[in-house]
Amino acid sequence: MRIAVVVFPGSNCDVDLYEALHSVCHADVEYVSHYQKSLDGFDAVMLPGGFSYGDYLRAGAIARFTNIMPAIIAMADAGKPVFGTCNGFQILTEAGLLPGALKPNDSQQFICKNVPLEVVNSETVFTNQYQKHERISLPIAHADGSYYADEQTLNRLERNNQIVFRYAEENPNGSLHNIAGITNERGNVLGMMPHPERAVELLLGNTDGLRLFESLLENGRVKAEA
Amino acid sequence: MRQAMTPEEIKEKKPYLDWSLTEAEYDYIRTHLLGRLPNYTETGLFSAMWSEHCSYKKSKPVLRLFPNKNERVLQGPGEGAGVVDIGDGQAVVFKAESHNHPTTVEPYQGAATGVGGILRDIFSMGARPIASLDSLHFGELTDQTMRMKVANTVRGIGDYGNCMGIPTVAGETTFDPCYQGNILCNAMSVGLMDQKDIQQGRAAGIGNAVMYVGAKTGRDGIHGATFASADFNDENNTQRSAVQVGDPFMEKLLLEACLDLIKNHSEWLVGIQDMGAAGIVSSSAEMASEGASGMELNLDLVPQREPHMSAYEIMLSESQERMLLCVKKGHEEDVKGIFDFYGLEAVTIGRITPGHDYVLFHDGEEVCHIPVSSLTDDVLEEESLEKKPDRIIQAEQQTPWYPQIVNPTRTLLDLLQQPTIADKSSLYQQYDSQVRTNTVVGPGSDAGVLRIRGTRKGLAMTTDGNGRFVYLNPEVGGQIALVEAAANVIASGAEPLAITDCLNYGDPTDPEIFWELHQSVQGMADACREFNTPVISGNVSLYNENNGRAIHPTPMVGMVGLIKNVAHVIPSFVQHPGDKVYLVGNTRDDYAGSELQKMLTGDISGLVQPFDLHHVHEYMQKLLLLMEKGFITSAHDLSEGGLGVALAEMLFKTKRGLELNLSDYTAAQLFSETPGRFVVTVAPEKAIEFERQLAGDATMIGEVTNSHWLMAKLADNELNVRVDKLQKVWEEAIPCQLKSRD
Repeated sequence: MRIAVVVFPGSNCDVDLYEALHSVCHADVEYVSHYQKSLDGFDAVMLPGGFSYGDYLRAGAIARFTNIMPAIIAMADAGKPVFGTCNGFQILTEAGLLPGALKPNDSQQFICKNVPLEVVNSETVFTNQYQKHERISLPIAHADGSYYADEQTLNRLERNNQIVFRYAEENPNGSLHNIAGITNERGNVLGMMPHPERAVELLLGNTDGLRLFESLLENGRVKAEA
Repeated sequence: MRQAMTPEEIKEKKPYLDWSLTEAEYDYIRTHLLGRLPNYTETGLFSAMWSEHCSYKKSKPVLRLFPNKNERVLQGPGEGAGVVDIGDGQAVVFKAESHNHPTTVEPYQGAATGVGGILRDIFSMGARPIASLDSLHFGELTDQTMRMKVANTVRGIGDYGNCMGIPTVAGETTFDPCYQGNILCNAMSVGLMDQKDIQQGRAAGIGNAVMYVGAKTGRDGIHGATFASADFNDENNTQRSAVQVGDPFMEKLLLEACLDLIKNHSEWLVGIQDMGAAGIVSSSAEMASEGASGMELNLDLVPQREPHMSAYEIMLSESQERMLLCVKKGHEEDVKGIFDFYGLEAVTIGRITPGHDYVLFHDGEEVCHIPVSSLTDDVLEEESLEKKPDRIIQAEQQTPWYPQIVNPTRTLLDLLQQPTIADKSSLYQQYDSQVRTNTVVGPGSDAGVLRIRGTRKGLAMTTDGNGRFVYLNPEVGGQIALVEAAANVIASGAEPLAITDCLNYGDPTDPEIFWELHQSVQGMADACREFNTPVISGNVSLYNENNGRAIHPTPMVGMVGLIKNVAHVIPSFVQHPGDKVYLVGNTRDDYAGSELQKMLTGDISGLVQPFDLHHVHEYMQKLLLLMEKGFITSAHDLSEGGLGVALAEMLFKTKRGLELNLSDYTAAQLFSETPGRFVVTVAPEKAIEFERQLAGDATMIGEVTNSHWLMAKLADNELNVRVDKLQKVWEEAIPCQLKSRD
């Protein structure tokens, strides 16, 4: 499985995603510039965290107009895995690949810490190595992570099992329904505020994010063998 | 725009006095350096370049006391940042800089641009910044304005560093009334590089291009350097025009573009330097001086954010996120291509010329024609008067203050709520401490620790400054600053490599303040020699006063240490029940300047006692060796609040407790702040060998338990308290005080 990590101007967790996949998971991964118009040859695409275009105007609002976006949308439409963490999640909502929006945290402050999460849906291509209702802990590091959607959308997310991660114990940012990560209806696009790519090595104190990448890679292996 | 005054009018009306150029300096420039009257632009350039901030004219004689070389130092002071060899062809690059005046006036932008400025110093050397640290000293939180300043300073640091994607991994935050009218905001950046990529701020080669890259030039920050070289009073504390405005997104692009150029096309590049204090003039003049070159610039080509800027304004603007490059002739378009890719401007604004003159054109006219050296090398060093303050002479005669501790548990609970000691996580959680996924130990420990990807090595880093000790005994206080930093680095299992510093003092024309500067630098320098940690970079911030009242002399030490095997990093909290607990170092009755004294008496007084620097260094080296050999399961250095606070901190966020026999110590000694001490834990089977190795310097005081109680028998009392009770007051103190509406 060949994975693209998109680099926007102002992306800064691109290295984190790349190294999680390359050094830890030994996956086939490549950086792709926002200037590129094609993702031909890639089986999955990941949008890193950071501050694309300085978060000016609104987090993710400018990145959605970059050259690469049509190719990302095409991959989503083709049912291939599309993953966005933090700023990547914000871009996916701005691009309309995921419903809802990320508002400034209730505290009006940037928050960086480990937070407990519940794995709500363990049947996606990104989470099949986790147990349903499993408690994990992942770092968050954002100022605009309060998930918002209208009542109808929230009900639909609940009904379709699109909520993949929920904040457990405390809600750090004011997200509705304690939402930390959601997929699209088809389940091949995942956006989440926590950073699984920062939790893949024992040396750094947390490996709870590793299985997200293993889920995806295992899935790719099974597909390749089939 | 024409010159605002003729040279004759300048001589008569003396506007330079307002720009901090003295009468004597003006006369010297006129008679000895130029042999004519300087024009308006030239006078402005001189006043900025001859400011203390740019020239160190007052502090230079004192700075010469510092050692700045050893077998590992690849680049000492004088460049953007110092560089130290860490083996495998790699080097660590670091520097700290103060942004005290801007942060006091406009905390958010002041702090943010402080971070931005120090980052540019690192990547202008060819290194990628891998971590940020800070050292913040505020007034008391009982003041509503100060609470707002704390919140905005922290937000400024966070917003800039977070957007840049550089983790903030360590630092210190203290509170004392002496900083009420003059906050200290010192930022430190650490970078990593391949030694082959080291750059210099140098311009040479006749015909080579001087290229301007990055953000446009505006009117912000004009005379920031002279602003930093004068003290505050009620009239000028709203000088906001001298504060710059930061754009971290622009800086992120500038970082990537510069590193792309340096790593992939260094053959096009002669030199590179950040446009920091005194903007274009300091970067260009210093680069020309370094290359022994002449330089000619056309200011009409400088990208400008607003119309009708004068030559003076363009040259002195401190607009952020700009760099100056010297590029080999013929490669201007190549360089432009790289910056284009990142959406940045790169413009040739001048050339290297034969001779040694610094020539500027504006609106088609020559507005400056002076020798390069007159701006950089000919600055008159100022001799300063020194006088030992009466308070110290008096303190030498007095009997030391001795605390009466009736209830040590109560005292410990009270100390844990002092803002300088209390949990700072509500502040540092606003900093991304993990981005780039190398952070092994983040904020809240003795030192931040990063692994170096692709190797087994790690780097430990810390910032330390305690103005109270320096105020009460500058020489010993200077030694303590260094020992405290070394203790933090060693407690993480790292060998100290070198230091950077920010020397924060009051008005040096006051002989007592200059004496404090001199004595404390002497103390730091002696300790640097003892620990073989040369000063490789740093800055001086003088005139930290408000309405004639100076801050405590507060030299900040930023230290970096090397860990041989980062998998064996030593945690600062206890690990296994049954581990033996040792107190390393000698405990005396040291209460002068302690947190305990401040809490119980409302002020500090007395004389900080000298200590045996060499002896402390000896056992610290032994301790480090024992850490590397795997003897130590956890270690924490003793600082504010002494042993009592350190023991509590080692238990926080664990489920463990301690049962201790401290019957050789009084309740007061539980809070003594004798420097150079540690608490360490050792697995029981290694205890005998540990004791043998550290004979005389380590005292067994008890063991780690499973009970989550801190229990200690003292000579004259007892300490018995549940850890959660301690942790609760420690965690709640700062959020509670920051939210207060009183």
